[in-house]
Amino acid sequence: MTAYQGSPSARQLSFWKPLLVWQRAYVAAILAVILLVVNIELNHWTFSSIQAVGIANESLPLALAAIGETFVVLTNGIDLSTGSIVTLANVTTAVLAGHGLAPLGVLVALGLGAAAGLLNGLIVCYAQIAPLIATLATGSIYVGVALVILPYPGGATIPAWLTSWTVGTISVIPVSAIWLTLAALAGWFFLRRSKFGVDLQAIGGSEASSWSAGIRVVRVRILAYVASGVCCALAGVVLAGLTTSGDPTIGAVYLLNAVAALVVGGTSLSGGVGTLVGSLLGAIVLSLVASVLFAANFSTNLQFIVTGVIVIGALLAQSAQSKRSARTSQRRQRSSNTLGEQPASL
Amino acid sequence: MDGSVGGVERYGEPDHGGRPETALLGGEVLAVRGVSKRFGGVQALDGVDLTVSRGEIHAIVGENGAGKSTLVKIIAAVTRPDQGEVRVDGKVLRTGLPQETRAAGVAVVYQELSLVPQLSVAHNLVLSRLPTRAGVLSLRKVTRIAQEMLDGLGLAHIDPRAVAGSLPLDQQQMLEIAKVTATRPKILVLDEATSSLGAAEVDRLFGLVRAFRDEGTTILVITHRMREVWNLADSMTILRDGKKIARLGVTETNEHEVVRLMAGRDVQAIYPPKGATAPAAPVLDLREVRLRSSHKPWALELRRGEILGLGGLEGQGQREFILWLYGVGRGTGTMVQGGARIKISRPSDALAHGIVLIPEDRKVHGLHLGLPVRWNLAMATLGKRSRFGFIRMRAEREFALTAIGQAAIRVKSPFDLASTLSGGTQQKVVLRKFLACNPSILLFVDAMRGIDVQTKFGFYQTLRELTSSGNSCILYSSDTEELVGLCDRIAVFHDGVPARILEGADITQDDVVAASFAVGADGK
Amino acid sequence: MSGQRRSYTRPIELGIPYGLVVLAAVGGAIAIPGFLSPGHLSVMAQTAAYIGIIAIGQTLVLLVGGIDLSVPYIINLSAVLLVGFQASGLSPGTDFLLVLVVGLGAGIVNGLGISLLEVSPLVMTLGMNSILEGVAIIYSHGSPQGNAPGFVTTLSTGSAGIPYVVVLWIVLIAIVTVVLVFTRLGRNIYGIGSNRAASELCGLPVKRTIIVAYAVSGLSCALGGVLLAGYSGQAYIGMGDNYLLPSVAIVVIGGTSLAGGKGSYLQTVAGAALITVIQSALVTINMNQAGQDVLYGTAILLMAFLNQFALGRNTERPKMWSWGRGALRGWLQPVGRGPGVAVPATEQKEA
Repeated sequence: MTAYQGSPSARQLSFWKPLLVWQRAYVAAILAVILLVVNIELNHWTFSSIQAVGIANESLPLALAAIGETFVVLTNGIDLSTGSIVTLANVTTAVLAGHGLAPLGVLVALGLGAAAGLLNGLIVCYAQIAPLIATLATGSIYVGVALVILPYPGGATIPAWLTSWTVGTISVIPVSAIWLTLAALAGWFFLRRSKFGVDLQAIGGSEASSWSAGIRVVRVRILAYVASGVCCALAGVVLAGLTTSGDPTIGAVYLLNAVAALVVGGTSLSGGVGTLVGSLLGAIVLSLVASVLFAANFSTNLQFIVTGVIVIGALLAQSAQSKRSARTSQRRQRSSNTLGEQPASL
Repeated sequence: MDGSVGGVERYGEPDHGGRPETALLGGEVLAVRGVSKRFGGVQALDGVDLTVSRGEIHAIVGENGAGKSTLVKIIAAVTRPDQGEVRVDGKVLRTGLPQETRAAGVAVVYQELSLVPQLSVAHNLVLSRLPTRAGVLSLRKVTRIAQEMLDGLGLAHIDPRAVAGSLPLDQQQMLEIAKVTATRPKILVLDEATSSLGAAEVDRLFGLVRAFRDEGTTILVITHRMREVWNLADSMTILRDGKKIARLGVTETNEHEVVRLMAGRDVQAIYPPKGATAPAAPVLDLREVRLRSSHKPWALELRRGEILGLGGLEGQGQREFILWLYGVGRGTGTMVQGGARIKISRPSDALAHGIVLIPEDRKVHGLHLGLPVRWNLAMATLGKRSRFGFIRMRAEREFALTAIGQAAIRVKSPFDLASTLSGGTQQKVVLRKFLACNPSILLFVDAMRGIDVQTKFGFYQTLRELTSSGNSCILYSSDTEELVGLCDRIAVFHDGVPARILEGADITQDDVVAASFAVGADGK
Repeated sequence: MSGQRRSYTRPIELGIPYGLVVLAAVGGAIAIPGFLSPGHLSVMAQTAAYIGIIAIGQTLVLLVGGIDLSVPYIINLSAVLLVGFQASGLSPGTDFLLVLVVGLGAGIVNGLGISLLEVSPLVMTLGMNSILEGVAIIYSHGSPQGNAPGFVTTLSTGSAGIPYVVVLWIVLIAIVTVVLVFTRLGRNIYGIGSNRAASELCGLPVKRTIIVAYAVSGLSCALGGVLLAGYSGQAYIGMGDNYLLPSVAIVVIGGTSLAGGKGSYLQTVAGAALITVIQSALVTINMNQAGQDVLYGTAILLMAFLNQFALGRNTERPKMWSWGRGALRGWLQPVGRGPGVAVPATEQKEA
């Protein structure tokens, strides 16, 4: 008889199954470790704390942006206004700090990030415009607003406390590393242990099922965009501390890199699968790449190429893995929506 | 063959638990009175009444277009009727959020699963009532609740930590039921829930359903499979064109009468007479075939003018075989056509050799819904009406008009989008599109699922006309009745191999079913 | 049967965008004296031509159900290579052709990755963009030196009553429209964009068509980069950055569906004209970059919204749950907002 009744194979796999999601984050973790080792080796085994601080500092804003993007991608959406919100927060902080109102600047920046996210969510959910074009358009709007606030880069005195709180050091340990760890913990908690996290993944996996299970789809989606906005705003604030100035062009590069970090970290772009921790690790990997290139005396321009290759490579690995697991599960099942025993690539 | 929970039942024998069909134990649990609903220009339901008593298993039958799905939507409180009302246990049912419907005691299992494939089994089961304390999820509780739910339904072998999408389909369907019946509903509605399941799986499902009935749940079954009605239900309501035609107990009537009532007229000889059983020359010779699920290589031949059916339990390689033939699947083997060896590695190769495939899900695989009917009809034969890469528009227009006329396709204009057509018309377009390739071999994968009897009859006629003019068909259908009625030979599949071939003008459904189980048992 | 519909593109689908162009032009003429003078019209047509030519590729790619985010750096790289080759002594003709070939090649690589390796178009083209950025920077050591070949400059800035670029654009419009409407390639594009699985089953050359679409995109962006270099006489890194959003925007504004299978290049042309008119008006009244960005974004949102409801884009599409492509579908389709979307789909016609 066929394997309907209590297929033992389902049981065997299941011990490893919950780890499957983390499996993707492992790749990023392993990559990070490898790159770290390479980095140290290239520096002739003198890993000074300056370099560690540098890497952690570079990673933090990217990690924040990547985490924000992950919230949205998990719900099977996309946020292309990431870079613009980073810019917006950055210039707001800088300008208000220039008037001596740095703490207010940070708060306003965060508030603007939340508002921008809210607008994104409202447009996507209520105006029913596709996320790709909606966030592309709102991104343009936010950049415009940023340009109004600060037309040219520079010229704002960022108070020392902001810098030390974001990118300073406590004895040897970089503050940013502490923030990264906290972010990782928060990310893990949010996704695994909160209703919000489960709702996010459910919506990304199957919106119809989530709705019939009573999840408030619209509310969770909008919240995801708001969370993304706040994370990007945090990144912008950190960047203000890092560069001690404001720059209306600073956020542009963060979009590609955030998506790259996300992909490397194992989050699926079609939603439902992925981890915030993975994206954080992906951001660290990308920063390490830059650092390795620098230490090996390669032109930093190579960084672009390497980033591009890593992203594509990570995605290929992801899709190969998905196809393999889709094939094994389809060996044991039929689906009436795909043409029979065939990987769903038809 | 023990394929069900709760006892040994031979396929085909109804089990009513020893109860009379009109339950004497306690009044109406569901009362639908005078419900009407209009969609645009179509009167979907017209003054329909329905009553179901507590503990009954009641079936709703009717052709497509009869109003079954609209009625289910109204009972499930998803759509509001224009007139009339639905009462559950005397209380009026209001449309609203799913939680409210559940609270009112109505639970629905649809044909499409509503699981989130990426989440674990436990999360799926508990999704509508995640145990949180101030927003924090308790994983222990989740697993515990899920385990309780699974144990309660005899599904203890399913690991709550498994990823839902990786389970076999019948287990997923069981999960669906577990999820839906968690809050012991008063009324459980099964809306074509068995459409994707095979015989053994259906048996299991029915066992579960009867267990629920024994506990006091009332069941409403919507199905187009007559066998299931007789196997499971106590009584039925027949709908036609939005009106209730009759409410009958299962023992009061028979299948023919029900079909007659559903169609509104005498439907005789649904299946046209079969062709001559004299062995004819093979048009396709398959040797050393090895599909991914085949445990050994096999050979098969397709004869001129025959309809070859693929039987056996679901998932034994029938679909795989057809897909491989068409160049879409994986597998190895030698194909010989007309004495010469051919190689098919993609659909265009198959088309070039006169082989076409009519897919099962016409909306997803058969049609370009957003494109005009004219383009849909022409899509497989663009090469025939083009020169140097340019399409000859006039020729295409003539082609489209001819096809529309020949197949009686009801459109206002050839540029109407395919999405505006009814199900039966859509299937006609798909068929026409592929017939335009002048095929000699036609492959069908469950092509007539969900189509009304009238269109089906026309389709069967077309098949016979095709074969009598020398074409051959390979037909895979999940409906054994259709297989038996149409096919000259039936190859019963098991484990990717056509283990037994039934021939003769007097094959019966029982023969096929017996063969499906028997090949499994002796492992032939 | 009555001929209620005569063609695939309904009149209203062309009517709305072109109507808006007329409206905007009239509005501009009322507010700004000389707005519709031959001289200014000529300038506007020229500006529209650049983005219009670049958007040829984006239109085809969107029609086939993908997206091309490598627009910025194909443009940049082409400009950089153009001046670079010129400086290293290649003849202008060879220079030009070589640059186009590079653009074509980049597009083909995109197409191969997307069709054969099943990488999501978003990530493939984003990654490609990044790689090309690296190549451009390395080749030019960060600052491209040199000038564009003479004939390119003439082509880009010269005029004989009508600017040469506009003439070129008109020719290209004709070619693209003929291909889309009358050839098998065009029909394949619409078919694949509308339903990839069904197209495969009909024997359409899916992979080949996708590669062609992206290849054309690479080619049109390369041509755009060449023209831009000709316009300013030289190249600089970042020339093309401002053309990505507009290339997608004008396609959307024109009414072409982001999910594929519906739309036309004539609609994109209308979108190009509309954006150019609005932008020109803004520049004339001295609105700064910031204001332009804000208004750009708002205009896109409004048009997308309008197209959504006016043209009835809210039709339900069959879900194809597949890993790679699902990502793009999810971002290109409007998301559900709850009741009405989430009920498991039952055929609407079979009540």
